[in-house]
This record gives sequence, C-alpha cells and structure tokens, in this order.
Amino acid sequence: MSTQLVGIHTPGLKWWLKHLENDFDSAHSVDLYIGALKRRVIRNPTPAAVGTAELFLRLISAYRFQSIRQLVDYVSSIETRLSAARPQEMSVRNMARRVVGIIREEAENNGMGDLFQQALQSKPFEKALQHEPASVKNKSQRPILLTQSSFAVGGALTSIFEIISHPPSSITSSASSTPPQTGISRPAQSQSIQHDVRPAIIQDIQELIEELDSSEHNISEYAMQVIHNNEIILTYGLPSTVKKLLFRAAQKRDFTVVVVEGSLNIYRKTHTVVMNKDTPSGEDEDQSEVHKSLQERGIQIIVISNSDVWNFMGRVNKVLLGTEYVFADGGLLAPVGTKNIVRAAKARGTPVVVVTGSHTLCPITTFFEEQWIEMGDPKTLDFQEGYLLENVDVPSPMIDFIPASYVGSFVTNK
Amino acid sequence: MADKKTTLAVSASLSTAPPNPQPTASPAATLAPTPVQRPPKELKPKDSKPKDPKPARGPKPAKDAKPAKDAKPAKDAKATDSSKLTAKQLKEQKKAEKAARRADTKAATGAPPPQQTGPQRSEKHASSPAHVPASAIVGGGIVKTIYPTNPATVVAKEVEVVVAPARDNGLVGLLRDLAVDQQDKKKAAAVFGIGNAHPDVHPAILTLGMQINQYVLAGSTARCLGFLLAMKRVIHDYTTPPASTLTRHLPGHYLSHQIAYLLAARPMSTAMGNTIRWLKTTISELSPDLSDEAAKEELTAKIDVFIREKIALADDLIVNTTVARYIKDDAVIVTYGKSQIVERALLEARRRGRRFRVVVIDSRPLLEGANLLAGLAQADISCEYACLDALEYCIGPATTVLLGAHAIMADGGVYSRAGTAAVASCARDMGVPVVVVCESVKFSDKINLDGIVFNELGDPELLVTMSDSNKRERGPLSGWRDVENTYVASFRYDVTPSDCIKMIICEHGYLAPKSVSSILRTSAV
Repeated sequence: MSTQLVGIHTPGLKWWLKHLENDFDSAHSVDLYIGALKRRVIRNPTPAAVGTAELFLRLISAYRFQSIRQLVDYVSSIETRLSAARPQEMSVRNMARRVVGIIREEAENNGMGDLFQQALQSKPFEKALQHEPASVKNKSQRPILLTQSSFAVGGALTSIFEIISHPPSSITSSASSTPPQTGISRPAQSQSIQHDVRPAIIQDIQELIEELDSSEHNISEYAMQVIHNNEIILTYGLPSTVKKLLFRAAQKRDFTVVVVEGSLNIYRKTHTVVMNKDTPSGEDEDQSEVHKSLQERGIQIIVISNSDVWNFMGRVNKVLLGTEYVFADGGLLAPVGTKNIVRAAKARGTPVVVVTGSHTLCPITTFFEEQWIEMGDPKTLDFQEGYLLENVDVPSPMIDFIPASYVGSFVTNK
Repeated sequence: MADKKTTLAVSASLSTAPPNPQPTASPAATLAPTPVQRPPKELKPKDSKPKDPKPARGPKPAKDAKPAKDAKPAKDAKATDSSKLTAKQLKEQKKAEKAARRADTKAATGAPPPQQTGPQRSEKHASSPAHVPASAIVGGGIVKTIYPTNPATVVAKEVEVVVAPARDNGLVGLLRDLAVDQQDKKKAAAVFGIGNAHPDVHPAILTLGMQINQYVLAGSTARCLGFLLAMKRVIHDYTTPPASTLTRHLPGHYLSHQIAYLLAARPMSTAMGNTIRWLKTTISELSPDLSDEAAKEELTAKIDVFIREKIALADDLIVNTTVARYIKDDAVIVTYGKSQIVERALLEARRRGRRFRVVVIDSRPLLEGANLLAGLAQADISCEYACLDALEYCIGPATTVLLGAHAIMADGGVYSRAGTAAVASCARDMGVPVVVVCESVKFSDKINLDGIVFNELGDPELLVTMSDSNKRERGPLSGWRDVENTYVASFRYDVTPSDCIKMIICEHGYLAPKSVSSILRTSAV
C-alpha cells in the first residue's frame, strides 16, 4: 500500500521501475501497473513500452511454467488485462507481442518450433508482423483480441487462422533453423523447457529493453541522411527523438530549426527544451547529452507560434515530426496540432519525415479514428471566467489522427 | 533666402530637410515655406546654408540622441570657423563618429556623410554642382549623399558591418532584417513620440498615433475610421501658408508629416493606405478657385460621405447580407480570432432571433477570440471555444466558416490574422465553405506571395508570456535575447491562398475571390 501512496505523489516511469526493483510481486505489481496506466501515471509510448517490458521480464522470471503453451497463455492473459486498462496505449500490446515473439524464437532455437506452432497458430502470424509489418498489413486488420480467444479454444478454430494467416516467411525460417522434431514426448520436453528456455527468454527481453533504451540513439544514426547543410527544418514541439536527431546532425551539419511551440498542452515544455532549461530528471532524457544546447552547437533556432506555421512553411525544407503511434497503413496518432502542420506542409509541398522508435509501430489499422482521440482539460479558459461556462463548450483533444497520405517517410531504429 | 544662391557644398546634406520628417526640417518649414514646396531635386543643387537660422537651430537637435544630428552642430561650428581645424583632423574625427554610428544601427538614416565636406569646402568651394550628381535619394525621403572623393572608406565600413553576423543570410537573417526595417529604423529615426514628432504634426494625429501604437485602436477598420476623423480635425485647423495653395500644400507637404507620424506608430494597413490615396486624390481634385474655407468645408463633407459609404453603410450592408444568407437557424458557424464585423453579424443574427451555434477558434499569442467569446456568450449564443490545434475536431459539424480580413489581395488571397490560413485550408479539406466578410476599402492592388516579407512583425515577447494562467507570467523563454542563436518570431498576419476561400462578401455583394481585381478596377477607391 505504501508504494501506491508513493506512486500518487511521485508518478512516472521512474517510480514504476523502482517499484519493480524493490518490491515486485507478480499479482500485486500487475494490478499496480494497470492502475498506473489507467491513471495516466505512465503514459506515452516509450515509458509504457519500457514499463511493460520490465514487467514481463520479472513476471516471466517469477512464473513457473510447465510448457511453452502455458507460458504464452500466461503472457497473453496479462496482456489482455493491461491493454484493457488503456487500449489507446498500444505500446503495451506491442511489447506483449514482442515478448511472445521472443518466446517463439527461443522455442524454435531449442527445437520446439513445431510444438510452438501447434500450440498457438496465431503467433507466427504476429511474429511476421514484428519484422515486416508492410507485407502483412492487409491480413492484419483483426486486433489481437480475437486471436487470444483461440488460445483457449485451440484445435479447430486455430486452424482457420492458420489458413488465413499462413506466413510463408515464418515457415521457411522455422524449417531452416531446425528440422521438426515431433517425436519427443511431452513430459520430457516440458522439463527441458524449464531449464533451457527461460534464461534465453529473459536475456532476450533484456535485449529488448536495451533496444528500447537505445532506440533514440539508433534513430539519430540516420541524422546525416535526413538533414543536410543549410537546410531549414520545422518541428512541432521538440520531442526527444527529434531533438536527438538534430543533436546528431549538428555535429556535422549547419542548419536552422524552426520550432513550433505547440498546443497549450506542450508549449511550456517546448519553450523549456528550446532554452535547455529542462531539469535532467532522467524521465526519458539521456543525462550525459542534454547539457549542451543545440544553440551552443551553432544551430539557429527560431521559435514561432502555431498560427505562424503557414507563414514559415514556404521557407522550410523539411518537416520533422515526432509521433505517438503509427498504424500499419502509415496513419499516425500525434500530439494535437500536428494536423495543421502536415496540412500546411502538403499545401506547400514540403516533405514530412516522421521520426519514431519501432515500439510505436502497431500492426493494426483503424477505421474509426475518433476512438483514439483522448480529451484533455480546457487550458484556454480559467475558472475565473466561469460565467462563460454555461454557454460555452471547450473541447480540448490531445491527439490528432493523421492519414498516411500526409506523411512522406518514416525514420525508425530498424 | 537670397543667400541661397551663394551656396556652399555642405548644404547638399542639409537639403534633406524638406522631404524628411527630421526636426531639421522644422525651421525651414516655418521660416521659409516657399522653398519647402519645391521638389527636392530642384532644391539640391542650389540650396544653401543660410547662416542666420543655423545658430538658432544648431543646439536644438544637438540634444537628441540621434547620431545624424550630432553631426550637424559640428558642421555648423565648422561652417563658422572652418579654418580652425585642419581638414585632415576634421576628417579623422568625423570618420570615427561615423563608424560608431554605423555600428549602432545599420539603418542608413544618418547617411549624410559630413566628413568629406571639410576638404571639399576648401578645395571645391565654387564647384558645388560638380559633386551633386553623386547624391542619391533614398526611400523614405531621406537623402543620402555620397561624395566621390572618398568612397572607399564608406564602402569598407558598410561591408564590415554587414559581414559581422556571418551566417545571417538564412531565415534568421531575413527575420532580423525585417525587424530592423519595421522597428529599429523607427527608433533610430525617432519620429515617434510627442517629443520627437515634427512640429507640424497635429495633436489629433499625435493622439491617434499613440492609440494605434498601443493597440487601443487595433482593427484595420477602426484605424481607418480614426484616421478619417482625425483628418477632419486636421483639415479644420489647417491654414494655407502664404504664397501657396491648399490643393498643393496640404497633400504634398502637410499631410505627409501626419502620415509619416502614423506610419511610425505602426505599419500602415491597406485600408488606411487606400483611404490616404483617396484623400490625396480628392484634395487635388478640388477646384483651385475655391477659397480655403470653402475647400475645407467641402473636404470635410467628402470625408463624412466616405465614412458613411465606405465604412458605416458598407458594414451594415455586409452584416445584413451575411445574416440573411449565412446565419440560419441551426447553423454552426466557425470563426477565428476576433473580427469586428463578424461579431456584429453574429450579434445581429441573434437579435433577429436565430438559434445557432458559434465555434470560436483561437490561438496564442494574442488570444483575441476570448474577447469575442465573452460578448457572444453574454448575448446568449451557444458557443464552443477551442484552440487552433483542435481545429480538425471542431470544424466537422460546421456549416460555414466566417472570417474577417485585414486586407484582400488582388489575386483573391486573404490577408488576415495569423492562423487564418490554417482554418481556411482545414475547412476546405473538410468541405466546409469559407466566407470572408470585408469592406471593399480593404481591397488591395498588391499581391503577397509569401507571409513573411510584407508582413507586420508582432511582439515576440507575446510568445514568452504564458497563456494558461491568470498571472500571465513570463515563461521559460524569457531571456531568449541573451541566448545565442535563439530567435523568437511572431507575425501578425498571414496569407490565405484564394483557393481556400469560397466567397467574399463586401458591400458590392458576393464575390468569388478571383474577381477582387475587377472590383478594384471599377470602384477605384
């Protein structure tokens, strides 16, 4: 209980990681994490991804399983609960998919690939999504919830999925890795699973967490390809992925950045980041690097308000955007106000480049965009103007949905 | 004025006085109105330095901080005791002065380079016309005289100043130049403010200038109206100087001081530009046979008619049409910022008993929409208030987007509060018709391709101020001027491409945006 109180006072990913470190307990921690997601204590893709991966790491190391099937069932059941807590936070689900993928991979490496496939036909399907989302996007329109029911039912139903989603790539990969070994009896196998698979899975999940940590760094490797000398780059806010990329580019290139201050939700943060006044709280900043500002590296920064975007767009070479989630068809969920930027960019013919880590790529498409749009508090009116409130609605969405047609290209860490 | 002919070379720089608004011009204007009326080109070659007014004049401008004026008393001194200092010393001293001045501001206001006058005066005393062709007239009525004797030093210094911020040929450089153009030059010229105003500037104009500068009168129409009303008083108080006629002196000389003063207060709006043009034409069309009193009366009457036809009645007409055609029951009207005429239309529709809904879109830094919202909410109109970012979300159910304008370009582009372009393009994408309401006095014969170059710079400090609290405290961006390579820019207006606009309502009726030019041709404001 004490941890919960702490959580209320100092919310955030840091608190969560500390909790996992010190007083992890399978059942309690899952409940706590669900609460944290619901209360938006942990929000935004990267913290949620890291938090989920860390949780799974500890859950799997604590969970005693008899068979791979049991383990996957366990992971899926946890995933169902977590993503029900806040379906909009899709990186939770993405991480669960990655974990299941890891389990499968390790199972295959240990010569149990065929068994894995038998156990859950939908998993190769997901695995394929992990690696080549574009190729499978047509088939991937069913959210994962449907496939979960197949775990329980098994047998006949899963075979249907196998027909639909038969991915040639995964078949060939499993065939090439190890020949199918169907002759081994079950009990013996489950014993060996305990010994062989668990350390490998845990190691892989640790690698996954490392990958998350270094994703911004890896993205910034592309800086030189994205930014060239004497260019004028426009960004919306200054999200940390974009900032890292600009930092990296600033080592060799000479350019100007036009920073749009952003909506009322983020403009204060934008100003802080531009002035390099942000306290290195370690939330999602790499402490070693933030101290030197872009300006000190010779990059000129122009801060403008949202209303001036159209004035500047004609003079800008490129628009770099951060995003929250990317759908399989290339549509984006991005902080509110981004739509105005991409619309202006389209009107002026300016290329739009989206910079995001691969944990935000979701293998689903959406037809009903409103479901993703979350409403925030109306920052524009104060309570002092309360006399207005009877007649006035003050909507304040937090998210814009941007169709794929507005985006030129993506830069991710893969 | 007789000694005008016995001229000295020095006076070439002094001849700047008549066309420009610096205090130097004042004695010339009051003492000798006749030469003042002449076109400056004619003046220059033979204009003189009358010795008698100068000692009286010398100390007055010397008090001012403006560098150009420091030079003058020195020159006067030199004029009286020219042989005391050697030419070389004098030149050295002036050069140093000038370097300091150039470092102060790039604005070339203080251009008359008196340093060369010393040597020239001694050498080419009689041959003044010889170097006059080298003098050049620079925009804004300021005459910059470049003497052929020593051009290298001048050029070298200029280059030096320009080169110093080496990387400023990009966007930041452009913005900085705009800021210099719009703000620093004014400060350097020191035209604005009661203490610095030209003595001819009428008190009504002084007041108006202050109101405009402080954004008490902010709207384009309001400024235009204020100008016309002030003009009525100016004309009423005007007396034609002897040996001149009203039709020539009033527009050419007297009005230009008033207008220059207003320009210093804030860049001119299109509506005011059109009005000034109309006023000047009207004055020049007055019959020269009229007595001053009769002419003034006629002018005042014409101004009244102009106000009635172009502003008051035009507004009424526009409001009427808009309400009748576009604000029906159950309509959802989206508007951006605050436009006087849109507000009038909405309130009028409510007064006529319509039930509709208004979505007020607003944006930092000005947040003018809050003002409009308060008025509408008090008039019992159901409203929605959202930021520009939430545009997409709000514009879906709308039936019409109703926008005001600051000016309408000849190609149909709408020049309006920054952010309007975003609203209009979003509405077009969502299939909501965009209707712009605008008096035809705001139609401009220019075309702005770009939102940056002819735009008016807003105060960057507005961006520094936080908007989400009552205290309006200065946010983390404060002190940006001290941080290298950081720049904060804000523009007042932007250009909405004409293809985002469905229709313009003006007092002539409905227009497609592309046909603005035909109205311009026929109405000839």
